[in-house]
Amino acid sequence: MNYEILDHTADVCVRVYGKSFDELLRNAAYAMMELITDREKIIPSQKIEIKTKGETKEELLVHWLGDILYLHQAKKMVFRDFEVHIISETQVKGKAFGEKIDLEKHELSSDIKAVTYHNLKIETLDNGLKVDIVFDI
Amino acid sequence: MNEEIKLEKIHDYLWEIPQKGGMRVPGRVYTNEKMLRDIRQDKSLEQVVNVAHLPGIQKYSIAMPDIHWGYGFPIGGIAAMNVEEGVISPGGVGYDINCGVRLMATNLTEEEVRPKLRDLVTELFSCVPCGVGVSGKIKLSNKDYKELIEKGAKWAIERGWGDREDLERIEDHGSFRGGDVDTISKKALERGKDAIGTLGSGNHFLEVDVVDQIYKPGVADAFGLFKDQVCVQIHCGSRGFGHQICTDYIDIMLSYMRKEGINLPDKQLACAHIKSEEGRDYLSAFAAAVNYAWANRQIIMAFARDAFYSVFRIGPRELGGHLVYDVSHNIAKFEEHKINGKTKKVCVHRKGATRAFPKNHPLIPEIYREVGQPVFIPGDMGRASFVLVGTEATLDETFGSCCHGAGRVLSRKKALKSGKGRNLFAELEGKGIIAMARGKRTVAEEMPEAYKEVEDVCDVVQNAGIAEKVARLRPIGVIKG
Repeated sequence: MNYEILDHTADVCVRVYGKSFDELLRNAAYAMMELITDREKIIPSQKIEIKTKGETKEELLVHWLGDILYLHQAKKMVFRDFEVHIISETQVKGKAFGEKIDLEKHELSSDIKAVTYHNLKIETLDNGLKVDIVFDI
Repeated sequence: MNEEIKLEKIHDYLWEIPQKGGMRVPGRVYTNEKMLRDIRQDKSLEQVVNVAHLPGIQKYSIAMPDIHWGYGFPIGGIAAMNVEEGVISPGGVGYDINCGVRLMATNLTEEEVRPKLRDLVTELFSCVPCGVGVSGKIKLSNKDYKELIEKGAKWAIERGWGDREDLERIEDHGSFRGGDVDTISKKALERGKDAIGTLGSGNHFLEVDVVDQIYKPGVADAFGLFKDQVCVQIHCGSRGFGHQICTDYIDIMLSYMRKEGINLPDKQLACAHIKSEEGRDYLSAFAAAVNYAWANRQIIMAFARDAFYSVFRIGPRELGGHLVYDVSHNIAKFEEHKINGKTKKVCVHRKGATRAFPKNHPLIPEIYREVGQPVFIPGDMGRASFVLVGTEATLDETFGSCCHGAGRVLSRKKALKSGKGRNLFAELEGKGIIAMARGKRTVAEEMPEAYKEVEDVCDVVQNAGIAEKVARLRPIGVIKG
């Protein structure tokens, strides 16, 4: 399991692991998408490129997830898979594979309002990275 | 970690967190012994302490009895900032800018509504768009959109969703000055475009209630409330439009803080001086989201009125359907308050807190000036909600503010676990409540046990002297996203 849902009274908190920073970003995107809907039911028929910047790794993570959330909310997309390429300390390029929301097929279970910076700190473990992310829902 | 935070008891309903370290003011928590034990279970007291670090904060970082762990500010937090040197914090308002509650009172009684209750709830469920990913019925042209964010509820009324009299019964007449499209990102505009006139999901709801207890008959009468009367409560906010504006400006403010060398214990408290360019821009975008939320609640109320007309085959005169008031509980307001004996202009952040002005205050509608401002405290869907009225003491103690709801005690995860194998719809029906929800999980996540007992919360504010109970509302019909 590369992420787990933690207890948080009012919002939703997920703990995400990754062997590297790009894997952490990818797993965080999976976690967020799983909170939204059942990823197994999504057909990755469309590809969307995402370019994200941020001053710090934490900001980069929040912006990356924020960009995916925007595509979900405004462009009505859901995503099955992601690819992440680290360009520099402050920039990533990614791809999201998914399709338009079909409410008959995709049951949407959480309306995520935003990805927060609350207590956000990427920690280095012996075998990779760990971060707790609080979503406002 | 809360165990380490020292609390000094002021009286049975108020505790103080003494000022220390980087705190600019002490913290103050309105609660009782029993609720304090729950509050200590999470990190909300730590958040009261963190808010006390914000530049320009006046008197106290305040928490209401419905306080619970949020992000940055605790939910149920109040902080007033000096306009000259103080800051505005988007996280201190919340992502759902101008989330709030309105109450519409009808001429109908429970006896008249009960026989057609299922039809009514079905009709409301079909005519009020709700649920995750559900778009609204209203198509906005760019011109409409611009007017909506400049005028708020007034725009909705000009388009036929409601009456002029409704405006008198909304904070600031349902229209905030300064909403400027140029300060809003394309992303925010896009996220809001098809969400106007939608309820959303999560803890948002539309509820059919019955007034089942009157505590202050004179005030209830002034609010147009009577025993056994059927009312409608609407709880929602500025949808994706507000969420994206808050998201955008937290980043702008993080850059501002780096530039100005402001350090805070939690990034989510990101802020800018009220008088800075970044602060002013946020306030313009924020005003647009405030207007969006007022228009949203106005439109949903119009949909609810239509549902009553069609189910009961009556017109506006028979229905009554008058707006009692519309309160905001995720907001920042420029107000004058007395600080150390002097009247000062401050920016009051209310994050999960409601304005509760007493009688004779110039900022409450003339019709309520002799009694005070109505305050709505929604409870969970199985128990009750309360109508309160502000008192003189709110101005001295809490910058004219009180609580906003029951406050969660169970996380969504725990609530889902506790709901497993139970038919919550049938349980509610056993109590005479018809509930309909779009999402399968919503009712479990929002089950009554997930919340504190709202009456305990209201009793604390009443016993602390900052608001008084006027009436109790018992739910009979619930619509959730």
